[in-house]
Amino acid sequence: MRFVNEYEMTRERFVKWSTANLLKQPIFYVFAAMFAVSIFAWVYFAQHGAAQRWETLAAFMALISLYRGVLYGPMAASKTYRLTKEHTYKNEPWICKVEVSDGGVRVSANGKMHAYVKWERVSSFMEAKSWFDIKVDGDSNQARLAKEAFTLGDAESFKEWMLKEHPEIPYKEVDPAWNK
Amino acid sequence: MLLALQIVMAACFLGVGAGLIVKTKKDPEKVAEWKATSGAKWGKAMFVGILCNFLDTLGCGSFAPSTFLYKVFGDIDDVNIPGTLNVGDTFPVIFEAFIFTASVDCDPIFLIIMLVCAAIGSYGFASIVTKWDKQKIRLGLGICMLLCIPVLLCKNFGVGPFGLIGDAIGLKGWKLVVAALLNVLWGALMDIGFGLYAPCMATCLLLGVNGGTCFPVFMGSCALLMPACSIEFIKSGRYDVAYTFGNFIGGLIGVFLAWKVVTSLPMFWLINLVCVVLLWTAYTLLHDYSVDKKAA
Repeated sequence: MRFVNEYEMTRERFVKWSTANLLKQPIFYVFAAMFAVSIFAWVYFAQHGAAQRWETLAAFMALISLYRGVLYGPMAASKTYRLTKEHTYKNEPWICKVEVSDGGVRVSANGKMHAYVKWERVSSFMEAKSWFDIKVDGDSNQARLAKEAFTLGDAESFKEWMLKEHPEIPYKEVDPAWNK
Repeated sequence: MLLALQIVMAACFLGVGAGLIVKTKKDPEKVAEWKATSGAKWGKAMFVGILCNFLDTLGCGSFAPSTFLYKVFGDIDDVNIPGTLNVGDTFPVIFEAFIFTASVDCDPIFLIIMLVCAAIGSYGFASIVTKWDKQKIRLGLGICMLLCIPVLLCKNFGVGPFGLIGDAIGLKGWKLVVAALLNVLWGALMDIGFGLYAPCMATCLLLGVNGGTCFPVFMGSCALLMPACSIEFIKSGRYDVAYTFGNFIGGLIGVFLAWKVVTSLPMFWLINLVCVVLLWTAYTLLHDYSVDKKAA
């Protein structure tokens, strides 16, 4: 075994990793503009005695833009976390473990092995501020390692080892919106 | 100002549509699927889109009748059904919520409270309601729907002890609290597959809200809670081109026709129509209850 990474998947960690950085997502500015126009329209219609339905439409759009633009991501991630923990792990602590060896990568949760992947199946290696991703099968699946959670080895030596031992695996930049 | 609001709405709508069109035109598999689609399949796709979204606008829901018709026609891969429904129905639902909000008088504060409560129910109580016994909810909700129908009919015909149908465009005081709490429940029940339209409509009508005003309330609640997974389905290409565009274009036509029906019907007939929808919902709930009970 070369490296072992083990961490508890807390709600904070899950939400942080599952939601994008709002300010770095172009769509956020579309929703922000929509929110501004809607609020302005709501006030304008209310002050100028327009038909109530236009006031309501502006209020509805303001709510939709706030909800979809800002609140939806964390709310949906938090709900997914709670449902997964409840149904899959019976509300026990959700411990993720990734073991990296010369032969491949083993992923387990709460001591139960989920997958063992040989290096030939790994399609890319990604790095963000707080994690590494070993992407598998054309990036459709992944094993995520938390940088601060190495119990054997550390984040720097893992990155060095990956780049040196597996130059065939492309090292990819993470989209800035997801670089957390 | 009205023009600015309409431009923002149109941009929002076109933005979602552009994603689907670009993906379909860029993906060689989807282009081939488009070219290989026969005229008959386009016809069926438009028929499903128009009929199911017409029914959806009246409060019957569109996923169940669409899935039923896909199975009857048998020319769509099962794996593509969830994507086709989610992607194709996104447009009619947005359209539905906007045109009803823009054409019916509704108190904005009442609307926002009801929408926020539905979201609280769906996000805050999901892990609680998933533990509830689905069969008991079906039975309870089905019976409640059946009990609502005679009450609404009595109010509509002006007989009995229940008074008359209300004409409020919003609620205040204890009625608002009751409506809001029930919408939390209806929002939570959406997580285990219970539609929000019929119970939300019944709640509003029984508390004295105008029949037309109920429409933006339940449509807005559902538009808010619709899973934002359309983009994922578009990216993965897991949708049937003909039926998705059938739902998209046919759905807009269906919603428009239903909007004309709902807004042109006198209140008396609209309430009778609502009672038919409630009867249909009660039947589906009790039918599912009995099928699952027999299977058990």
